[in-house]
Amino acid sequence: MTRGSGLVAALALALALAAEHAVQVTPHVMADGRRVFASLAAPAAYTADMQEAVRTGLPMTLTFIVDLRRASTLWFDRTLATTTVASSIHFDNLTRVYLVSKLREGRVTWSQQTDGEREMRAWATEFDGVPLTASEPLEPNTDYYLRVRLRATPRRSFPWWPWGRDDASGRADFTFIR
Amino acid sequence: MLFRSTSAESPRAPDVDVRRRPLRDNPRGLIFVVLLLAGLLVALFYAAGRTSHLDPGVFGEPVLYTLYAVDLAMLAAMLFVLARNIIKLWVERRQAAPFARFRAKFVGALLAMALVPAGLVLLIGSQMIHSSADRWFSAPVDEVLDAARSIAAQYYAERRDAGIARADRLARVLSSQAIRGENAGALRAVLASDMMIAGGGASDLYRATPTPTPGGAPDAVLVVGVESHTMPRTLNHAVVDRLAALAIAEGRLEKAEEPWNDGIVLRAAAPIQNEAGVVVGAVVTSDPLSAAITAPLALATTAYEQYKQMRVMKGPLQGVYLAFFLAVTLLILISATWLGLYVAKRITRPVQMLAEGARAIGAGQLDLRLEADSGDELGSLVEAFNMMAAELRTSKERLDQSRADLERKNVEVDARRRYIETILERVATGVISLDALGRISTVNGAAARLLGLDAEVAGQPADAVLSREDLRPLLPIVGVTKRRDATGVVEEITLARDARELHLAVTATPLVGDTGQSEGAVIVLDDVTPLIRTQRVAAWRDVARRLAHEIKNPLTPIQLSAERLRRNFASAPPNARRLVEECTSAIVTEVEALKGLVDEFAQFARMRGPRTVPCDLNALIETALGLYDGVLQQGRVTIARRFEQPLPHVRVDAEQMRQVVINLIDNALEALGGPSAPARPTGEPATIVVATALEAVNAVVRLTITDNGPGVPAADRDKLFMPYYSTKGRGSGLGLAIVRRIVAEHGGSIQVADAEPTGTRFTIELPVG
Repeated sequence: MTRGSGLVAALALALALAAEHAVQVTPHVMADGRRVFASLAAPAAYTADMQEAVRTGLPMTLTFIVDLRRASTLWFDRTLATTTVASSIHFDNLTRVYLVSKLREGRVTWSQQTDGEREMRAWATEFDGVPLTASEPLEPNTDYYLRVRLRATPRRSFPWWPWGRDDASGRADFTFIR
Repeated sequence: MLFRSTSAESPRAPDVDVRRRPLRDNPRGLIFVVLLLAGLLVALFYAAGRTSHLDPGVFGEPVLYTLYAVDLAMLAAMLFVLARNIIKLWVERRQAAPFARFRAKFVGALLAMALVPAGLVLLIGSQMIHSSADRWFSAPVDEVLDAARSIAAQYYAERRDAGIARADRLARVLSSQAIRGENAGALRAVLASDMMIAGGGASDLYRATPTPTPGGAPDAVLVVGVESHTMPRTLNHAVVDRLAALAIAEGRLEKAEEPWNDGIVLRAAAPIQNEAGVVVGAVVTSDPLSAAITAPLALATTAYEQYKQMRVMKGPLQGVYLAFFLAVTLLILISATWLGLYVAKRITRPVQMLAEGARAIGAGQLDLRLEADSGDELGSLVEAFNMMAAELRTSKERLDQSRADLERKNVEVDARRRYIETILERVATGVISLDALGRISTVNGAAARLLGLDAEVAGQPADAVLSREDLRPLLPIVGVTKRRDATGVVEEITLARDARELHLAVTATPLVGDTGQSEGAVIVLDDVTPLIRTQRVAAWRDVARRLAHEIKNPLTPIQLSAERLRRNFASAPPNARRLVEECTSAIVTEVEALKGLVDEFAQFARMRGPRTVPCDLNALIETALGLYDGVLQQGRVTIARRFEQPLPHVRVDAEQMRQVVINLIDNALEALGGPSAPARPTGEPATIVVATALEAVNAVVRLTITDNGPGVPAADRDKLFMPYYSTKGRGSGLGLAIVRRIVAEHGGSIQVADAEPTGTRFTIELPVG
């Protein structure tokens, strides 16, 4: 992410709850209070059974749904912006090469091959500078948080209730200070 | 089957009207639904059978979610249908609707019949899927496929590594001087020699040349290249150029894979460095793998991947199969439920319609007509039902006509009965009816008034009622009516009621029915008291006339003879003359008295009829009372006047009415003891009160003359108005008889009663106008 020098007059009291969630989220708020950049890392989300599925040549997609939300004590939290990023992993069993592609809102933005599993894992589970543009400027001295839900498809188990289950999630609270 | 009213004259529309034909009665709709369900089932089975040919990715979330959605939709549909019918059954049972239990039992039975095998199929099928899935992935297959994949990968890696190794070796062999040299033939010989020893398809030597752009990557210029006959001629050499430039720019080994027809070309580029370690060029080796080689590699790899993917996706695959089974099971259950409802409806609905039609007819909708849409036995039943309804309608119309006639007759009879009752009630004749047991059934108003009975005597034994002291003379007549052979009795009976004599002409007639049984009796009472009284008066008038005629005629000769005797004995001796004088005087005096008496008799007998004119009664009375002013001024008796003003005129004969007033005042003065009567024992003065009043209700004017004298004994009251009855011991006794006659001839009435605290009150009522 290009964190311009004009960025951040504000900070970012990021109370990343990485210890509790598989997805580590780091927010970066621009000075204009409209744009928020999120850095995501979910190394633990790439599990052994996922690796096993990838090694079968099955294209695996990790989809990160990132929500910028404003906390509310009296009512449901309000979502100010949402974006979706994804990484797709495809392993070629003949050449033993991983092809990793990154997508944003359904468009491929980056693609690379590697035969290193560690490198592939890092590419697939880390996103830097995921932009979110709020529908209205963030209010100073107000609490917000970034919520990230990770879904890996295809699923490898039989879901008795297939709707609404995340493979991992993350959250980072912050106070916008101008 | 439809309900349809066929009569335009129906007083109200039938409750069950023509109904829209539902889907279940639409054969096309039914066929469509059945075909749809069958098609769905076939599609499900086809899809289940094709799963082995589908890519494992097909069983991803979209398919699974879709199947789940279908399952849930069918489950919801079935639950809805069941819940709806359970609620409907509950409501129908509360309303005691017919066939509700039958439908519920039928649907329940069909559902149970389908539920058990469908559930078993689901359970067994899911178990089979689990066990089959375990058998799919056996260890030998796993090992074989793994080995094949390993061989393919190994071969590919060896070919790729061989190219890389050849490029690396050539890069180390060829020095920077050689690249700069002009001996292209020698370089080609080195490359060809190496290719002949190590194999491969082509070898190309590039020299790095600086780019005009400052800081830019150096370009790669082909120095020399060699190709074997295995190398395809159609490949684009630019790929090789770029790979060489990349290796020169990065200073490291680069590799690439270029598709070629169904095969591939493996390329490797190695940088050439001079003694100072600067990259001065690059060697690119190309190794073509034809389709004959790559196809088995790809086949082995694909087989391995599909097998492994299937193994990884075993869970979702089982889920898809289970969802298939669940969908089929639910489809069967829904079909069974719907079929049960449909068949139950088909069975019960016509019968229910007939029942509803019967109820509607029972409620009076006889113009209802059922129309069956089938020509089977049910149609015959409906036709019979319609015939029955038509018969009922005809019968009801006849019945209605008869009822209307009967009601009309009842009304007439009732009117006649009321008319007779009214007559009986109003008639002056008393009528008492007795039942067969001798109990009083009815007593009309006249009978009640005559005998002093009230309405409560109805239902009581006549013997008990008539055993009252004053009614005892009627008992023998009631006794006569009890005799079966009695033909009726007519008697004149005198009752003493309220100290008066009541003369009744009683006719008792037993009632005998057609069968000869006694049905009671009827007693008719006629008050003949006025008649008897009139007869008596008439008799007295006749006597008076005879007396006047027979007595008055000899009186004059007697009187003349007495006077002649007196004259003839005028010269007789004194003693004889005194005796004659006394005797003749007595004779003449008595004759005169007799003459006066005879004159009164004659007046009573020959009293003329009234000549009535409208008169002010108060003024008339005042005129009559004026005659007593002189007499009463010297006496102690006072006459009080209490006239109502104004009083409407009454038609009277003024002379006769003055006579009435005078007679009554004279009678009152006599009762008080004359004009100089002393005060009453109570201390109050002797007073005569003359009052008039209007009784508008009965349209009469009432005149009352009341004295506070000693009064008249009750036993003598009826005799007061009889001629020649006097309590004074003198006079003719015709005064009150004349009063009554005058009042009667004026259409009025006169009553005598006690006054309070003492005295007598005469009340005369005269009609107004």
